Amino acid sequence: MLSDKELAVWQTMLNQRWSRSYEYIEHNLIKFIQVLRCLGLRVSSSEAVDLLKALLLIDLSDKVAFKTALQAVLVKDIEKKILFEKAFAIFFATPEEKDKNFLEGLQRKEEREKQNQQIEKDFTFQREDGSEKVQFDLTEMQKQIYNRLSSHEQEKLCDFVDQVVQTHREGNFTKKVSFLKNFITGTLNYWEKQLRQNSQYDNAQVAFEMDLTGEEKLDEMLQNIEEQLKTSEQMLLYEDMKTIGEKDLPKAMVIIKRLAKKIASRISRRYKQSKKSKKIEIRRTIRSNIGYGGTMLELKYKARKMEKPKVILICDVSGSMSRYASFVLQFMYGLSSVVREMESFIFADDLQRVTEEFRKQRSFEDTMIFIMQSSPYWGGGTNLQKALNSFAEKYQQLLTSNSRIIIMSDAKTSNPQETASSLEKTRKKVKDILWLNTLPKSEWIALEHLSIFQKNCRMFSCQTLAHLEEVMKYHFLSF
Amino acid sequence: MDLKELTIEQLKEGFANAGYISEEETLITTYLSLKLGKPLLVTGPPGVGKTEIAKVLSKIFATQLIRLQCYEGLDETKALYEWDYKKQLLMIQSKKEENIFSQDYLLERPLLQALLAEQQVVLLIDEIDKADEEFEAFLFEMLSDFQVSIPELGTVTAKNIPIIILTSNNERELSDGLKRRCAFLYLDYPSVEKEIQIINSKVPQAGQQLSREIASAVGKIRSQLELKKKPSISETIDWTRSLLLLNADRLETQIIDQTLNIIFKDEEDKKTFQRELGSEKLYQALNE
Repeated sequence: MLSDKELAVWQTMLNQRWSRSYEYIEHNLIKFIQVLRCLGLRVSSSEAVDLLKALLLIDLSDKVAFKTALQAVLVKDIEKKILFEKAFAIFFATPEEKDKNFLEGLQRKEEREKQNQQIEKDFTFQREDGSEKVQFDLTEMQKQIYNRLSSHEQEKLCDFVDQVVQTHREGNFTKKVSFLKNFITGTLNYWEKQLRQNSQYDNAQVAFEMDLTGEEKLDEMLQNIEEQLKTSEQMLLYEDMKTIGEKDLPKAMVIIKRLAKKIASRISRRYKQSKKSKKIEIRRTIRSNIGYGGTMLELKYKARKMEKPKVILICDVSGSMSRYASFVLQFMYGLSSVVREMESFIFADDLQRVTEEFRKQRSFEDTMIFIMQSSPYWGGGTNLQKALNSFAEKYQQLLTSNSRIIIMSDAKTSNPQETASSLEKTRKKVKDILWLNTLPKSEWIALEHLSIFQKNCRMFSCQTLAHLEEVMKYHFLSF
Repeated sequence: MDLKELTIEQLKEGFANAGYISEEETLITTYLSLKLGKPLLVTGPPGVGKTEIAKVLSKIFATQLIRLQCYEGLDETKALYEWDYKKQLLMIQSKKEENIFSQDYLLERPLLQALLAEQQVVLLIDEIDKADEEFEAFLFEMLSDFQVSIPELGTVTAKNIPIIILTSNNERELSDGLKRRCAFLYLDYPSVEKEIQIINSKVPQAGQQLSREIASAVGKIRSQLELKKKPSISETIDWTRSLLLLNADRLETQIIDQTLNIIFKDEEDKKTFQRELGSEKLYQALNE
């Protein structure tokens, strides 16, 4: 949001240049900047003022010049250009287009509400005698899968749940509800896999998290932008990694390689001085002794040997994570080919070191095939506690004050309480633990143990390549 | 040309006269950066004409181009200034009463040269992504206030605000602080049509047919193959010149094979081309 001071600067400048009839431009631009910020573009106040100065220099009726001016001043990250393009097209659309977008948005909203109401109805069960009532809340993804099922399959699922609820006689009802919850999740997961195999579910899921402004019109616009982004072919960066189709894999791999290269160059640049080498630096010594008439009273030493941070990647390859894991492992593979000091591990039921596999001069595909075939843990259950304990036992030498651990996992682990305590112990020995969570942030609240985990790590949502890039760019090695 | 009176049309003409074929976006962004007095940050893959923009501007404004090539470990003694220690020591030993921390004892490096120049100059800070983050932070004062602080001398303010162009190959993420201080331009590889114009402008003797075939071939190589290093514009020009030396007026299978080394500078890339596209397929695609 622009500050009052900023608004005042704009107002003064506009009043000086334009008549009052142009006042709406200023408001429009402020709103547009608000939209960009909601989409994740970092636009500062000084850039907002620069924009106004830039607009004084061009012909406002020339749409190309207008758009280029906005882009030159507001978009400083080429990956964000696609977001700017979509936002610009919708925000500065003609009134006719705006009306059309509005109606389409309204239609979509109604449709969604209707579907949600139906799902809510389908998943609310009450015993005929009225004694018990239970309602299951589905995640967004589960709702989408349910909607894609045939009416026969939908009925079958709901009938089964209803039957269990109706036949419940005595005992712990909560336990039964928990069983049904798992049953519904399991069934929908099964269907997700089936639909994907039959290519009926190959459309990308854009996992785009944006803030809303609270202003109805702007929020409608933001939702419209989100809808448009979903259908855009250039949205690979914002697509849920789990849903990236086979045809887009090569493009995704190119993005990952580029990201790995950038991070690798960052690791090689970020270093800490160690206390080893001590050599006199002649220039600095002369410079600081000029004041003493050139007599060498104060000696200056060369920068000491640089020590790069130790990066340890621990990737969850359990059943629920396998799709994400292939992307993250590609990222790890890319990084480890450049950064020798990196250690890579995979875990599911237990931990396995894969650093050596990554260092062999094999292609990524061959490496993955080897790991998948030889690993006893691939696709198993998740036990992070055991993995962390194994790590502390076998690789104690890696736990130093210069080590930074990156954990990639959906945090759905057994023994959460014990895991939290193992995590705490690990945290005390290392510089930083960064947790990349593949669950959408909106679902974190459902997992109570996540808040305990967060006390001992910095946790970020990491469903998309854009998330991965964002976290690596702004949070990795940030202190 | 006078910067104060500059119009977009004049800039366009200037770019054309200097032989730089530019898109509307490049022109408008450069114009805005010049008029706003803000440094221009140009990013994009290697060999798309980022550095060339600075050279063209120095031609347009008939002024000196001062270049600072960035690299890992670059610091202010190489970029800004250094005291002339030999001279200072000699002065101390001669026991004359003179201030040895004055301009006479200062060795000006590119940034200081640009600030102290009597006439407005173009300052090119090339490949800023190769410099360390600390150096980037050091540049902030220079980029926003056009001044630098030298502890022994005080603040040195620009006599004439230089036109500053920064280039980056995006090897490393630049800080938000630096980006905020600049107007931003992303240059991508040119479209086929634009590359034909570039070939015609740099190698006019190539002719329409050959220029079109070369531009289309390079376009296909860039878009269809996953290469370590995609052919740059200068490699397209070199390829055209090589083909002319070999008296070729068309791109044919044999001549493509004979000149692969001109466009591929990496053996792995050459093999990728032969494996995944090949001169035969490329020739067919050009003649479809």
